[in-house]
Amino acid sequence: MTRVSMKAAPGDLSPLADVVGNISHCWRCSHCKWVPSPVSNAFAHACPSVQWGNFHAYSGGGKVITAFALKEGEAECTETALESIFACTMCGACDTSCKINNGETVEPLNILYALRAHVAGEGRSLPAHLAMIGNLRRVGNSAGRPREDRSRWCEGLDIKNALTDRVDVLLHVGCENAFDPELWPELRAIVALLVKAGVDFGIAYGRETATGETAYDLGFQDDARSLGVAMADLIAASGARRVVTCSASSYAGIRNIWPRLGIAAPACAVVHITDFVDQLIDQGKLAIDGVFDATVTYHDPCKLGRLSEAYTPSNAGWTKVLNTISVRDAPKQILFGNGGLYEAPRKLLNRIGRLKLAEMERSRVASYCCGGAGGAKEAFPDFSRSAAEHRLAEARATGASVVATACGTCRRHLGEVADAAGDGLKVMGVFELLASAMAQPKKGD
Amino acid sequence: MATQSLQKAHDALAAPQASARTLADGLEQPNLKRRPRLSSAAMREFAEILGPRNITDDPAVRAGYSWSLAGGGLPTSQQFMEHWSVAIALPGSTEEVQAVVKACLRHGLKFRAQSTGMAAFSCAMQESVVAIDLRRMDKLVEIDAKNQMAVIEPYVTGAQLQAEAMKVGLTTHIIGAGWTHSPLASATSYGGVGIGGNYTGNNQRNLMAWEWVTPEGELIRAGSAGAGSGWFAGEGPGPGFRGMLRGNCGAGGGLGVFTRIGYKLHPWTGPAQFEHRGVHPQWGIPLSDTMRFYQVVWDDWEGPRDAAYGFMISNAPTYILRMPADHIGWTLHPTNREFYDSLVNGTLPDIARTENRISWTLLVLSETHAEAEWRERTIRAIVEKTRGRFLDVAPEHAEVLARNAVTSCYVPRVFRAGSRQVMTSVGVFDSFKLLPEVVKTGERLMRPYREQRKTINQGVPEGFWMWPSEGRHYWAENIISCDNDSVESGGDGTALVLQITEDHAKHPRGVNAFALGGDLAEMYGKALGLNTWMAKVKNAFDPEDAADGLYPTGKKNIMTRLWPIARPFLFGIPFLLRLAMRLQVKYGK
Ligand SMILES: Cc1cc2nc3c(=O)[nH]c(=O)nc-3n(C[C@H](O)[C@H](O)[C@H](O)COP(=O)(O)OP(=O)(O)OC[C@H]3O[C@@H](n4cnc5c(N)ncnc54)[C@H](O)[C@@H]3O)c2cc1C
Ligand code: SF4
Ligand code: SF4
Repeated sequence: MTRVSMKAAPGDLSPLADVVGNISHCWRCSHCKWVPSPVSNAFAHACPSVQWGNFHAYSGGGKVITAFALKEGEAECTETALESIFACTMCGACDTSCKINNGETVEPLNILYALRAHVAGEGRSLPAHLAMIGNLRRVGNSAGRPREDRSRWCEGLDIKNALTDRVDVLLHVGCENAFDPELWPELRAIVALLVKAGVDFGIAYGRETATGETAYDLGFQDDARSLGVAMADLIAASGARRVVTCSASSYAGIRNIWPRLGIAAPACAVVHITDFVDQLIDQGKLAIDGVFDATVTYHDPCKLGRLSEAYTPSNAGWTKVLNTISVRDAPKQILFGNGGLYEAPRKLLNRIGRLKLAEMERSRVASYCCGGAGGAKEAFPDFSRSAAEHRLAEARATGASVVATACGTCRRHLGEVADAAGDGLKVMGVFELLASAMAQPKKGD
Repeated sequence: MATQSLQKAHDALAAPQASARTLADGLEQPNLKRRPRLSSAAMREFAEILGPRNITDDPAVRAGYSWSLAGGGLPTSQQFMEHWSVAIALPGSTEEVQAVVKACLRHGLKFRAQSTGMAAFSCAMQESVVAIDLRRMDKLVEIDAKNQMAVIEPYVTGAQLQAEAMKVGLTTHIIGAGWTHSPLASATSYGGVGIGGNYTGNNQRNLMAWEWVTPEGELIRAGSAGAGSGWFAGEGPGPGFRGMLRGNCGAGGGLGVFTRIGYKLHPWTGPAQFEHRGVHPQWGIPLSDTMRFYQVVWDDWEGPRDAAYGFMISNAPTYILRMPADHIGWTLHPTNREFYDSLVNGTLPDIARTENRISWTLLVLSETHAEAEWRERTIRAIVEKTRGRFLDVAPEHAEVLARNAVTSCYVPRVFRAGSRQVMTSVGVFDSFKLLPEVVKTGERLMRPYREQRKTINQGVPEGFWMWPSEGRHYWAENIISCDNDSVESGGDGTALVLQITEDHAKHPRGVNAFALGGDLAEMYGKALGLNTWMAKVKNAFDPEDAADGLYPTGKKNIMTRLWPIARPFLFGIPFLLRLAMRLQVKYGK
């Protein structure tokens, strides 16, 4: 084996330097625009960004080329360039699709992270994103809400404080859930189930803070690290045996982004709430006794699905074998999305009497993004809405009257767009739906 | 006329923007390029036609339309083509295409269409070219199941069409480039062979009627569509001159913009929807009593040649494909690293081992059990007669390879062996009797590069993909993968492609299927008079040479002028050829 330098020039410390080797492998095949195995003409697209912006630059592969053009001074950070980079939800569908054929050679999502860090480093971030970062620095959430508002959702619920009362489970709430009254019924339904199952849990109240993945998505990796470290310290301080998070985004952040930032995984287990409740049921600590007489389709949130795959980064370089083939010169985990959380929410839904679960064509690793994340909604609301419209059209095509999801951002965003359409399609959180079912106990069903 | 056009083009282009990174002494940094932009008058006109969001001349967007594939594939600015499209237009209808073409003509600009725009085949080859990206024209207009055909626009991919066709018991031809390609682009404009070709034919002949904006901006419907009687035939009623437009290689955009076609589909007895087996990205499709998979190997190349005749005459196998064993290996491994580890650890499955490379992979589709049994009996008899043997294949491997045979899904994995510097030889399109000789030639020409110079991929000795086309012709192309981090390797790969072409010219082995566009048509088409005919067609439809593409105009350039003088030296002294190609790779000229 001969060692080769598929890296930028020595001394090049720009965020894009490490991914030059990957960039050089992109051959503009456009797999990143399509799901790995289309089932229909209508729902074959994988990338909401290029479906909206149309120019190749909006696709995952297009952004890979833009990254190179910016790095080499072949193009500049114009308004159009910034739109093509940031009218994107960092959903990772391009990455999953690229890997069908390109394996470890390109990994477009890693390049997208580096591209955003490059833009931030050049001081060219969008005003909407700078505002989000300012908020994260100031009050630990991107919406800029006061810290004390974090626990308004649980007023009157008498939940333990995980930092002062020793608890078995630290229930992590998540910024997107804590500040949004529309998502409070979901949180309260979760609390009701935990209480019913006799779980010893508490929350961190106003001391909970963003886990950092939003800052990472926006290209501010140092901010992401500070936020992540603060949250990791808080988890350690709680002494809890388990962290159960209600946030798909934080679940992805802790499992997939923290390792990239060098933040050690918490000593205790980190579980998503859908998985936790499902286990409680399996263990006989909780019973779901209820019906929901409707066809429901489940929307896999990107953050809970392909983006939550646990990651062990390595600083493997490249080498050539068999004269020309690029391979990593040390073990390196390649993320295909298969390690995301797909089954638990479905199992929960399937436990509900009379509920018919109808799958959308694009599901699990190939799920289509709702358009709500990655700072896209804040910066490009039209784009963000268009993604949701495509997703809801697919949901309608299943014949479902309800879209269930397990992420507050998806629930809020899809719900908003569905309500605006006004055709009766309802978007619900998995636990909102469970609560509604449990309010109607089975009668000899 | 030419000077007038030049002047118009000049007016349509605004002065290049001074780069922010221009050095103080007025010199540009070497990797910075001054890129011309559209003039404000031209931009205004395009924006009026298309809406402002559907036209841009921003280099950040144009970069994505100028990404080079082979040659210059170093991690430097040479990853870009020499010429960048001056602007990108996104028309949403045939009328808008027509208006864009006319606007280009008014402003002295050239244009080149692209459908799904895979790799670099649609990049501008000269200055002042507007890229017409047909992405917004994505309607699958109709599937006429009874007549086994579809009517499609440019941005319908092979996979989308296949997904819909399967629902009504049909399937589609998918070229080896993979399922993200555009059947319309392939049928009207470029290439057209695919690994399922034994069954699903060749896109040159899957093309039926067509709608077309000529290089002069005229809108023509031809074949049966020209008589307003549907999209079912390329020959008419209505004007029918399909062969002239399409030829074997295709004009690659050089004859205007095709906007809608009638396209043949083929009967499909498999499931209405693929059910996945395995874990992404190693998804296979379940085999069944009526969908059977066989891997047959022989000890010498006469075996697969003789068997191919038997298979084609009996019509027993549906899909007949020879993949190089190492490419089967990539197909069975999600990453290069895993493939390589299996290779060095000696754990590659039999089907992916070099010693089993003399092979056919067969996928057999039947309506009934009785039919499947007859097909199997027939295949077994042919294999026995030709002294072949069946390899045991693990079910999960057979499922992945079956999916690949039907969808071409994993063919693009050939790019893993060198990424942006993968080339194919010119291809052989002729009789199966040539098979052993073709293989021998491939081995002979590749050996020095594989073994001594170590500049191309060290896979099986000849690297050939082969299949029968339409149950008759023999198609073969060998894949040449170079190191995308080495100018020397890129140069050697290009030199090898030329050597193979030259060898074909000296000892004709069928049609040089891919390479006969652009300068190569002038260089190698002469013997058959192809370049003259292509130029006649080009000049008749495109007197202004406005449509950038592959059909030659007959005008000489430096390369074609020097060729007769340089040719004997280059092929007489291989070092010279390699040096010339290295310079070509390095400097992109
Ligand atoms: C790995 C690999 C394997 C390949 N294997 C095969 C193979 O087995 N068989 C094969 O045939 N080819 C093969 N090719 C070449 C293939 O045809 C090209 O990649 C081609 O560009 C396909 O892409 P597309 O369908 O996206 O067409 P595009 O890239 O959009 O277009 C292809 C050509 O047609 C022109 N064109 C496109 N649309 C129009 C239009 N509407 N009107 C006028 N001109 C148009 C373009 O200018 C360009 O020259 C392979 C390429 C690669 C990279
Ligand atoms: S990012 Fe991957 S899938 Fe997209 S064009 Fe590049 S190589 Fe192809
Ligand atoms: S991350 Fe999602 S939206 Fe962004 S380019 Fe990739 S697929 Fe498109």
